[in-house]
Amino acid sequence: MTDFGSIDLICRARRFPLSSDDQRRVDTLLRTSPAARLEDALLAGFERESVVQRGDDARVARIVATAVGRLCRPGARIRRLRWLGMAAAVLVAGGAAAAWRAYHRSASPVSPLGTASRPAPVEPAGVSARPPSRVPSVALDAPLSDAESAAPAPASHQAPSGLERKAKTNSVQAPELFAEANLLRRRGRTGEACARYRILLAHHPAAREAPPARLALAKLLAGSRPAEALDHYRRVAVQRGPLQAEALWGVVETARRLGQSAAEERALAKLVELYPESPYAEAARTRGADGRE
Amino acid sequence: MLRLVHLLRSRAARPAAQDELWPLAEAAIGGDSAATRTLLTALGPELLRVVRRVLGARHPDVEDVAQECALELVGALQRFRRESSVQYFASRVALQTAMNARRKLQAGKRAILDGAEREVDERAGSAPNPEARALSRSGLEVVLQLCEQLPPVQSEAIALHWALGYTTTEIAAICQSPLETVKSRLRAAKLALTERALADPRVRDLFEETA
Repeated sequence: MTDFGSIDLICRARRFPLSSDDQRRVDTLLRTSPAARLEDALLAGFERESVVQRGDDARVARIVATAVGRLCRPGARIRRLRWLGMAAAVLVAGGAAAAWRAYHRSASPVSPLGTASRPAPVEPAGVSARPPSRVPSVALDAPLSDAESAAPAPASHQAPSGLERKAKTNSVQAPELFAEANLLRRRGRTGEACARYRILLAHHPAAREAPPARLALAKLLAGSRPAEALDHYRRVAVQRGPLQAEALWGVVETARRLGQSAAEERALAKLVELYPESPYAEAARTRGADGRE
Repeated sequence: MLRLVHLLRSRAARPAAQDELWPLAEAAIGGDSAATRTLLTALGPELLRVVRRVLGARHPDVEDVAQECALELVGALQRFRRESSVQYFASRVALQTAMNARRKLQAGKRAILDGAEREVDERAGSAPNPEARALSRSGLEVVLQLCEQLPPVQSEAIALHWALGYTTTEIAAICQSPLETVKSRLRAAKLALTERALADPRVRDLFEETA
């Protein structure tokens, strides 16, 4: 049952030429031992996962560029902490101001006898103030388009979440929102990541982070809400820049999923025309050829 | 005397001075950003390979986790003592980072892909492929989960062996452990894992299909 022969014979057989004796042992093991067959299947399975893919050069270049970019900003963490500190200070100050206002509102009515009415007990700001929700009110399932979210909310609307409020007052900047959204995305908290990307797009539409945020949002929505994803991809795809090829490819994929073959073909043609050397163009040419067949 | 023995042993385990990446690693440790870039470019495919094996080739976070591996690697170079080659060191750091990322991603309640998309992925993975005997991704996932239940040294050895395909000699160099120790770790891990894996209906079914 658990006969492996030499402890790494199966592994070596997949990587190196074996002597005829060893090769016979491997063949026998694979015929007779379920454990050896399982090991062989595992090794093959993991090998299959790491096959080099089209576009890996570009992928590695992106990984390196981003990693080096982050390494070259030694103060980034300090700056982020500073921003967090400032946001916390603003929150504490806001809570204190609210408590002060509540105290004065309740203290101002004067009794007919001329004595100030007894102020209502006010809890300390730190206790009464609800901690700002870390999850903004924008839910992934809510049908909120960018046009809707960018429009100023009517006064009667429900109060925005702490993060949206801070974003509106520019106390949370686009880079912080973007970094937080990316972190959430990496942790698999897709809904929260989408919400943050949306807040970023709504309140910082001209920020440098807006196009990559829109692209990331489109990727997250592509599976569940392809029509909205297509809209985001298109908005990024109309701008020249480093994201255009990727966005055009997104248009191709999403339009195909939606059955919009004319849009798919237009995007394919534009991709090949504008970025003939891009890794996406190679895939686009292959797909175009497949489509013609 | 003990120090001398240790020195001799570490020299014996050290891959000869022909580690082509060492000069780059040394410059990167010194803060040379051009060297760091070149080193990461040279090791990037290896990082990507490790992450894909641990997370799965189609996982949407492969690139992000590979980037985390690159950052971890640059940080970890400070404690690199040339007891193995730079590439082995990078593989080990990437394996640990990717396994941690995998644990974090699984701990999250919400998967990036919804159930329907996962099913599509599984179907795509089970399509005919050149490696008819290869275990599907879901089988590999079960084995990786079982790996995590082993003692850390055994878990690392078996992950290096099964997931990354390193031989015992290579694992000994990567982990800076004596060969016999690695063999005994692997033997124990394989005994435990194979019995558990073959007892698991999810692996057994998949395995029997490929057998």
